[in-house]
Amino acid sequence: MRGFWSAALLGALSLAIGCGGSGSASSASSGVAIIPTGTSIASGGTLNLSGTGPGGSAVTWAVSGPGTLIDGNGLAVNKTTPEYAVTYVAPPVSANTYAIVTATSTVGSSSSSYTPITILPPYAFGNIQPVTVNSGPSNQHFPNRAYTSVTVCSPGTITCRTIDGILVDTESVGLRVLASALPALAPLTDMQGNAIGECAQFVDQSYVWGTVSVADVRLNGELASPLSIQAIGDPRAGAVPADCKTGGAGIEEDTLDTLGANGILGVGLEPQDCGAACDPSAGGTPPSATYYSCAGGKCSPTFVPLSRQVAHPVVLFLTDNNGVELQLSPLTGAAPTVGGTLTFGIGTQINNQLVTGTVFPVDSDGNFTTNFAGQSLTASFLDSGLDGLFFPDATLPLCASPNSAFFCPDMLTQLSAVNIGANKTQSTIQFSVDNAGDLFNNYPSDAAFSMLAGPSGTGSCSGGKGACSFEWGLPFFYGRTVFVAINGQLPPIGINGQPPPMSTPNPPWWAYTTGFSK
Amino acid sequence: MKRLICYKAHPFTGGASIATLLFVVLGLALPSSAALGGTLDSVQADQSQMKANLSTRHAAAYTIYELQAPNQLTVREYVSSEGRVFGVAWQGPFFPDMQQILGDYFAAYRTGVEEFKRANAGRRPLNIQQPGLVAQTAGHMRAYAGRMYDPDLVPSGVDVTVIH
Repeated sequence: MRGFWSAALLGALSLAIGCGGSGSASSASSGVAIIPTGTSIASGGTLNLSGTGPGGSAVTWAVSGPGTLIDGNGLAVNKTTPEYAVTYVAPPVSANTYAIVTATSTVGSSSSSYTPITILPPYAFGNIQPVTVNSGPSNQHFPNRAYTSVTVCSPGTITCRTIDGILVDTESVGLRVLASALPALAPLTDMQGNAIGECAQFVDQSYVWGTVSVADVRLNGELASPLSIQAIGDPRAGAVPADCKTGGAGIEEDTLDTLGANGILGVGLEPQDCGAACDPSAGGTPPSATYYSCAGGKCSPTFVPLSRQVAHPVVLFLTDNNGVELQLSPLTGAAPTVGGTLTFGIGTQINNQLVTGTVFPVDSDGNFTTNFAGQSLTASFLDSGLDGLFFPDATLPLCASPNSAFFCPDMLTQLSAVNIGANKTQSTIQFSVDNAGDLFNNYPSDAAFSMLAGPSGTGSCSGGKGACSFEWGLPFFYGRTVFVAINGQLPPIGINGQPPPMSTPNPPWWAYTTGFSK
Repeated sequence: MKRLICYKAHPFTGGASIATLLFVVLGLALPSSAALGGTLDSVQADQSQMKANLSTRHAAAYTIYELQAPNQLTVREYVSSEGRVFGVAWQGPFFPDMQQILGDYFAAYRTGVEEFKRANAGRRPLNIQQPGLVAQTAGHMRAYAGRMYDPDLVPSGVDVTVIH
């Protein structure tokens, strides 16, 4: 199957070139290797690059975008003279600036690889970017949504679009963006040249549908290249398959007004959105409602190798690749906007240290236990993509149908729950539930609500099977820093020769602290 | 507020619900056939024919038929002692074919989902509470679960929280 997908990648890249791309980021497919692949440097700084072609031959070098290349003697690099190593010299910049360095083989058939570079302004951290809870980019009024921005580039080019209004979602994995907001991207293809389609379903019976497309993705100074993302609503995917629509019950959210966002940045606990179940090594029948091979407008389920699946962008970063922190300012009540940050890496820099707090290891479904009102809710999780706290409660009244998603108590109700962490440590969470109907009526121009809550009930919690969940949605994140440590990545190992402030198990796990320090 | 039509199940329409589910979990085409609200018939024959992993558990007033498919989807049917399916629960990495497992209740479910979504823009677990149909979901990407039941069909004395 490896050969199959090498061919698939070449197919995708040939399409990328047809769309204006200038090369390949994959040394395996082109025979040219560059080190490092995808990094940021400071304004006016330098970056040493090494490259080899087939048989260990030297390669020729070129830069696209600002900056220059010099050789070991400090002389400008001649575009036709093969070199093993060059130095990229960045210009002074006052805002993030993009460049591409390409290395081309001089033996055999011409092939090349590229490395994308982001030049950062002076004194900037490249691993942190703003997040805002506000009413979002659509005409609909969506409460409690944390938005950020991403920069998506056609692979190997500085043809990029910075897209805001991207929902930050700690309970999905991978970047999904409305195709209409993206620059030209080629879909991932299989050996037959068929585009790979993808369906992603959400808990409210909605789904997004589109192609898997390949891009260079920049999150401030971090680079994921090449990254498989979902291009939502990409017409090249063809008709929505029946199993994606779950027999016609599903609600399609492939537009700005239905999705309420230009895209979703899934920064959850796993490195891929599907994982081993969708890898060809799983054998048998490909999973339903995930990846498809699409030809002539019709799509059938298919496997996609782990390395080509829609991936957590963070695991592709050169550094800061073991997790994220989502931090929001405290909120009590309602507000039109709440600020925050999304930081990449855990314990990799001085601005992302886990110093205090409880670590919550998770089961194979990514869940931990919350004890609430005499119930042991064994399938609980932290989900910034949900707009309220959702939990089983027999006493709080529901709002009238069809608003039965929320509780409508007569008066503000104060409750507490206990999250169970590593070694049975307990973390008590105090929270308040207000009348959702009153909140929406009394604060029609607000987008952030700290006391929005509703029911999560799929039955008895005995035995922990089924769905006994305390679903800690966005209100939980106000006034906290939530750490997401990604499965398969390293725990914090310390910086500057010092051990980490806290010893932590191997990911996956959650951790959270109170306070807003950055 | 618009009220939904309550879709009452009709006795002995549409054939065996377990057969339906076996087809569903195996991804095979089957003509529309009752699931929720349907009847129980020829379980053993279907089990043998479909080679699905079927297990049963008995409680005082009902029996649970649990079907485990190779695609990691698990569907449980709650069948009253009269042989009527009064609840269906599921869990897995993706949603099941709702038309198959809801049978005659599908139209009410679909309308309920649309009203639920229209009532408040945003993302949250489903909680449809209508006369004749309750439908709920929970979970997150890779690990979803849901249940549907008709309160009018739940045998007296049975707590609906058993459906999960």
